[in-house]
Amino acid sequence: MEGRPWLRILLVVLGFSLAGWPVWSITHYASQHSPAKPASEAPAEPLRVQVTFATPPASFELDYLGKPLLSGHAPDREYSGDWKVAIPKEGVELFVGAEWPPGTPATAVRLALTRNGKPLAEQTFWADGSLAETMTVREAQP
Amino acid sequence: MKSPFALLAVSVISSSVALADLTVASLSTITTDIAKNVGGDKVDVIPVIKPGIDPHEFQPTPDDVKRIVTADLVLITGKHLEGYLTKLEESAGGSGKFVDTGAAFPSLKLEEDGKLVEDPHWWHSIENVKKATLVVEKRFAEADPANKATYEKNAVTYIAELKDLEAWAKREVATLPREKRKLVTTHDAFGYFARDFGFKIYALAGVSTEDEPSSKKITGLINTIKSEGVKAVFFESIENPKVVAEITKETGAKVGGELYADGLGDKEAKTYPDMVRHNIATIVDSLK
Repeated sequence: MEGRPWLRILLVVLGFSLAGWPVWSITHYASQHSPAKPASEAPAEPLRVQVTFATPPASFELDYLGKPLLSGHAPDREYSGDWKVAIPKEGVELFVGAEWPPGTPATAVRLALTRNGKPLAEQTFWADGSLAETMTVREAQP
Repeated sequence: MKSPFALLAVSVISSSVALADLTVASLSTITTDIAKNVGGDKVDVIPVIKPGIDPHEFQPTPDDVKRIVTADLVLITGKHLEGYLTKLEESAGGSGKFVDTGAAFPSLKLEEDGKLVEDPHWWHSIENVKKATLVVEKRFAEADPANKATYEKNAVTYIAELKDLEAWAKREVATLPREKRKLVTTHDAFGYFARDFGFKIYALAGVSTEDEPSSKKITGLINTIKSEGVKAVFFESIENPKVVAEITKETGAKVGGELYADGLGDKEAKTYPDMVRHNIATIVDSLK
């Protein structure tokens, strides 16, 4: 091979390519196919959200991050639904807003969350014509 | 000889003063707004501290002292913000006409250089402002019983406005995930806001704008912003935003915008509700 430097260069390049292929393959696959892992996985079991009014409101909404989870109008007194959410260590905050017809006396609203029938968070609010409150929900300590 | 315009101006001023039954000096833009709302046309409110003036550094001039001494009542925010108060009370011949609006609710305490200090920025809690409104209404009614019903009615109307503001604020902040509620500001003025809305505060300086941050503190804050993944850093309306610009350059966080920390401004925060709406919209939009 003396006198053929291009052939020697070609062989070196080929050698590096063969040695590097498995490394590139692993890293390339990992970056292309591994989905980004969320900060906290959503639990398999959804939460049961229940809102109970002592006096039916004219209108009501329960929001999470500005989007409605539940909403409704009179004459219902109870609303419920399932909610699948990952709860970070800081907790999640629900906003509950409601309006009653003018002249409605002070009334109570109960917001409760359960998982598999076990209570996770619960709060009662008092309202005087309207309600705009928040409730923070955290995972139960083990 | 005075011109007809000057005579007209004097006449208009005299008649407007004559209409007011109570003269109230105010040592904060926040208490000025409360006083105007509760007093309506029955009270002549003298704003000693005007928008854009830093209350931490303010010292009354002889003219200010004269206006305070001749007023029927003097509104202060209290919690040791008015460091010159003792001297003013001496000038006024006692503390009787001074209305400490901040005494109506407990103080938040902050640790500063190993000591516990009172946080004087109570107006960042809307609930506190509602309570301060009731204090102002009570003292106006005591000083001017003839207009008690008007002060009561005005206070009810203003508290209803504050209640609507609180509802708006709760709804707006609820759109920001709790894990993103990290507020980096130039001085530690948002403790009451943080308590009410679940924020964590990282401040460059202490409760007073007079505090100068050390280089160690700045480095520590830069590290915190990086490790906590804070998206934005805010500057305050009456401070130099250069330090904030430096921090954002070092951390990659963006400049979140201007917040009104120590009182009202003359742009988008001319009234207390305007100030709250501006601050919350700026914070929520920048941290989302």
